[in-house]
Amino acid sequence: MSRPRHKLRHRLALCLMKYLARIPAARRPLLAGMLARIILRLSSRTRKRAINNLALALPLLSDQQRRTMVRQSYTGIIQGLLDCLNLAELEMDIHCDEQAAQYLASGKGLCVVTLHTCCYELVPLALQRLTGRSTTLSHLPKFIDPKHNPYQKAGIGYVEKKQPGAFVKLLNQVKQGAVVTLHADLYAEDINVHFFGRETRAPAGAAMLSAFAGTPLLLAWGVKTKEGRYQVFIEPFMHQPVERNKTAFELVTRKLYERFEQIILSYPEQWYWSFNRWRT
Amino acid sequence: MEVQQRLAEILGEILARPAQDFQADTLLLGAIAEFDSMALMMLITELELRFDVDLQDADFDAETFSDMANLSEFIQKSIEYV
Repeated sequence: MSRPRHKLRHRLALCLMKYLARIPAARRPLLAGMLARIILRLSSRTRKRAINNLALALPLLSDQQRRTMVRQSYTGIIQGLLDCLNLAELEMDIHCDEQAAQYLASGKGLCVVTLHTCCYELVPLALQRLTGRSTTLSHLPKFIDPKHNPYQKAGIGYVEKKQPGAFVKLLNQVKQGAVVTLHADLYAEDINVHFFGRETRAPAGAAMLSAFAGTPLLLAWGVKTKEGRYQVFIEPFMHQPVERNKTAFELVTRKLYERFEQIILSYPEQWYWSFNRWRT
Repeated sequence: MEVQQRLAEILGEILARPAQDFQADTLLLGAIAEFDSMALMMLITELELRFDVDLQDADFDAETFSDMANLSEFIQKSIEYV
């Protein structure tokens, strides 16, 4: 694509982003619901993948229940994205385990692992509000300038995930006292895990970060209540740093996925079922 | 030279390539697809074992692992520091 057309595309994308960021919070659920219906109707691949994932993980649901859950999940994803554009203004309740609170208050670097539920940057935001030193791993398109960067506006540091050495940067951030959040529920080639009764593979980044930074590992997740209020839960997952060997990474990641299953089963309509999680 | 040769052997084992592939000017992190975060952490563990150094508090960044020359220099300094 020629440079002027590239630039035009970026300008249009930024305009759209600014427009979406202006939509009042009260209107976002309605807009998210409409967009979810349209996208699921137009993208049969996304729709079928989510339905198939649900069939795999929750086989007792009827076909109608799965379709309803896919729509609820996708509506949540879109509303989460819209809310991410106004990250600094999001309201939430934070429920932090006492021991986790002590770790966070220590001032030392920490690794926090999370999964993609509703607004997926809730956890870094909650940690920023609690500690003032939250960092996450993410990818932002280049056309987003600092003035429109939702992370910067919320005070959250981030490491660009697509750069070489991103993991080393995260490691150094933890060593310097940052509380780093990693999403660990997507497919990656690192470790074999069992997830909803099927073999798949998962990232070991959180376990490795705990091991090499020498920190405990916390687990946190965000959900939305029926009334539309965001909540974040934070608990300790490993009180001691993970041991520095592949066997330990495997054991910890597998235990983590057992816990992920429990959380997803508690809020099944809020997880991102449309990911190509099992690479089917 | 010895550090570089030993380093080449370690990289060869971790990345499943012949040690000869790793010369003084070989680019590493970002240039080799298999050199992901898992490989990087395995490398750090092996460097500690094979060179008898503790890198837990060592000062390194992405640039340290960008090529053989930088990495060799880093290991050499770590050995001398011990």
